[in-house]
Amino acid sequence: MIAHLAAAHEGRGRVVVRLGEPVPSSLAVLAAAAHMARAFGSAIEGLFIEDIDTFVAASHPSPNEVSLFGNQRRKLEPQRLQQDVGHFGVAIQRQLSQAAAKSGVAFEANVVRGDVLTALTQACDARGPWNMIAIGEPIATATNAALLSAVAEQIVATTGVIAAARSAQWRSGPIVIALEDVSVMAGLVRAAQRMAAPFDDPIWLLPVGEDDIALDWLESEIRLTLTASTGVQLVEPIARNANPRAISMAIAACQPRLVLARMGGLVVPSDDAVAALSAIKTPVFLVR
Amino acid sequence: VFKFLKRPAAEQDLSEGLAAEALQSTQSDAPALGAETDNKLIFAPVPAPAEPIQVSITTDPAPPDHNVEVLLAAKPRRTMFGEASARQALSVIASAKPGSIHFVVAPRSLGHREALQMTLRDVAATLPPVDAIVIATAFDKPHGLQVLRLPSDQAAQLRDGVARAIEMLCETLPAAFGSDSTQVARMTLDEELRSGQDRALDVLKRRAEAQNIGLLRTPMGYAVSPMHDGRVVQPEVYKALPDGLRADVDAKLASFEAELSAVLADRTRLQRDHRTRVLDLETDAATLAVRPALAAVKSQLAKTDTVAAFLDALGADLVRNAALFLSAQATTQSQPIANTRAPIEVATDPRLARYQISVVTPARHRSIPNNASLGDICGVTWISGGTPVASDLHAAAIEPGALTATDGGIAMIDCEAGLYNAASWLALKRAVHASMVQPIAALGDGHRAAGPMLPARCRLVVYGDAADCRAWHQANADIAASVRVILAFEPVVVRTPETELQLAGNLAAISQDEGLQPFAGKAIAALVDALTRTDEGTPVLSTDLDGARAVMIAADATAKARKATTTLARDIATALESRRDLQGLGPAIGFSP
Repeated sequence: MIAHLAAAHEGRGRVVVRLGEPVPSSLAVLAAAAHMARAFGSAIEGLFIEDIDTFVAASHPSPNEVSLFGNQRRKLEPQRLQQDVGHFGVAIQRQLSQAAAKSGVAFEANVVRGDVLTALTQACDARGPWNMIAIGEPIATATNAALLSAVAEQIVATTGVIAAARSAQWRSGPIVIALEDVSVMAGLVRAAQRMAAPFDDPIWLLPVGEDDIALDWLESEIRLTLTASTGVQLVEPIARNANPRAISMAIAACQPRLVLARMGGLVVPSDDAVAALSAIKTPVFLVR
Repeated sequence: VFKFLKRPAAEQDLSEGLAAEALQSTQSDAPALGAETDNKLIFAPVPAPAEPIQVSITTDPAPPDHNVEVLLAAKPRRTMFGEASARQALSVIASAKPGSIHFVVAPRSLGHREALQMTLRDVAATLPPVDAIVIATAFDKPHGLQVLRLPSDQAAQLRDGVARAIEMLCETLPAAFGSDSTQVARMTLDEELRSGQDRALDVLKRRAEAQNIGLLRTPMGYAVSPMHDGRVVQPEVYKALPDGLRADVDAKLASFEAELSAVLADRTRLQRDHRTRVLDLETDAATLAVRPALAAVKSQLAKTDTVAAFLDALGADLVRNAALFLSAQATTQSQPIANTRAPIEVATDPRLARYQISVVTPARHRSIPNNASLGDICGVTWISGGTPVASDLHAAAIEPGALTATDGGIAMIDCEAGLYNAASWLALKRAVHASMVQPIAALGDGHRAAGPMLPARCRLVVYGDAADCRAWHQANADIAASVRVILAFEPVVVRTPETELQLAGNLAAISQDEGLQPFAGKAIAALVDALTRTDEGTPVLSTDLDGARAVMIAADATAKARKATTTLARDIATALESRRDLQGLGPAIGFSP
């Protein structure tokens, strides 16, 4: 596990923010992305990906567009679709540029048309390998969750993915490491220290286990490894067997600024990412 | 302080200054008070300094045959001639209905005005007590304020009780909304909406994909399109499909389009249901806090129907607007702020202004000041900034005017007081006639947000002299017939031993009040003469002491200017002359010294 982000001058990575899903962006994710870029001295790229399938659909002989509340239908015309998508893209890029400006990091806006996964892969490959990807839209549907899983698993030139639910808020608080495997602890602590530096946030380490036995073992390993010099505070461990939402709610109770967790683990399961992120209410940086 | 003394006739030829000095040296030789039989008056300060000045004078023309013994007993006392009869005449005001207007005729002098105020205050004291005026938000109406009438103690209890309840709610309402149980319930409802909205669309999307139909999101809505292997079919490929297959796909497209419309329309219903359930939850949480907060004031005052109805409406409003007590969490990106709640300042927070209660306890008697503005009379609604609208109004913004502040009592105004403009007089008359008044808006008269109608059931007393009365009736012919005229004080009284004694007491009081130096007997005699005239053969005294005061002060200044320690008759003469030259003696100018 490498939770790293290249500095801007290295040209080996940046925070790539995926934009283009026609829903309001998660302001918490945009703020978290800007924070990451600031913490690592990196930059932000807003990658607006136009869905090629929508434009293909518009080129059909008589496609219809159903309005958002289902009350109206009108012909889906390629020219008007292009205008709508263009305006939306400008608006959403402006939001991200404002977040970047507030954090004082360099911002770059790009527009591509194609498949989301392909576009993100190409962008990361172009300047890698130490990228971070932020999913601009809130993770609210199974489609979003599937994209999140695919990005985390398939894009090689990235060290992690930032994602959040619709309920997430960007606020001050500790950087919480939800640790399931002690072997990655050192790397996560180092990354957390970078992330905590801009606001001098405390770092909390929350052991997470499948059950109490696993948790006891994990906690003892952590105590052996953790030294006082890291400035990391160990908080009461949580076992999943207490409640399906116990881990998410325990993390939410910490009121963190940012959470570091493993994608597909106990904190954010691949098959239940929407509910888990909704309960955490904070942007989560997911590593493999 | 002076008193009249009799002195031997031999002393009457002495000049005034010499007499004063002589009397200072021969004070121990003065005969016993009232021992002499001739018409000699001696005027001396009392309580006496170490060596009181005593002067023997002879009045000219000869004073009437008054009782010297009584005069000698005169003590400084501010009284008004005819006060008893004035009190009797003015007592009819107390029995008049509220909303009546009386014109009280009295000489235009400071003394008479003070006496009139004093008498009216006594008359007003006989009026029955009136309830306090409680101004509060009308919670059962969309906008505006309401007026309740309650005994003063209950009004204060209501105001203070509600204020305490609001203070308590600033703590308990956020606690109720932030409690674990409320949070869990809200989280569950939100999740239910979210999953309900998204799940229906997801299910439809998956079902459509299983039949090679794609639901695509656009910035303005959704599109339905044929798909193959997870991608939208190119138009040329679609055209190349056999007719039967294409017709089958077209039918599926139409079907899913209709289903999509239904699913999207159903989101509105989900949101409505969610809102209803959230409102129910919030109502529960708010009621839990509001009920105990109002319990104390309800137990005190709910026996009164109007108060009970008000408190019920207040409680319902507090529940409905509980969000006013919850300040938003700060979540700005540029300045990350901890998850804290800003404290609410109950007294100054504009969000809570609608819960303020204003209590006006009407005075039984009040004078409307000179140059009173329309706002002074009718009251003012203070609205800060912007265009005032009715919903901006709250009780603390209402400043009642003089008419409301004397509801049930007596308001007095000088007919020549010089109200700010003619409209003020018009408003005054109308308000008294209607027994209610609407405060004017501070940002402009006549605006709809000018505040509620306030009670103004006062008895208005306009006062002036006889000439004023005639002029006022001409100028106010519209109400002249309904105005009762009361003659309160006569400008003159017959000169009798009693009235002389009263005059002596008033002059002594003036000297004392103004801190004047001693007056020689002849000086006082000259002043008495100046206030005396003959009316159809009968000696009469002016009741206007303002003129006497002015002359006494002027004469005192003249005497001091020539470094004399006693004010003499010639000083009085000089003062009278100068006043006459200036034509400024007022009512006393008609009297010859």
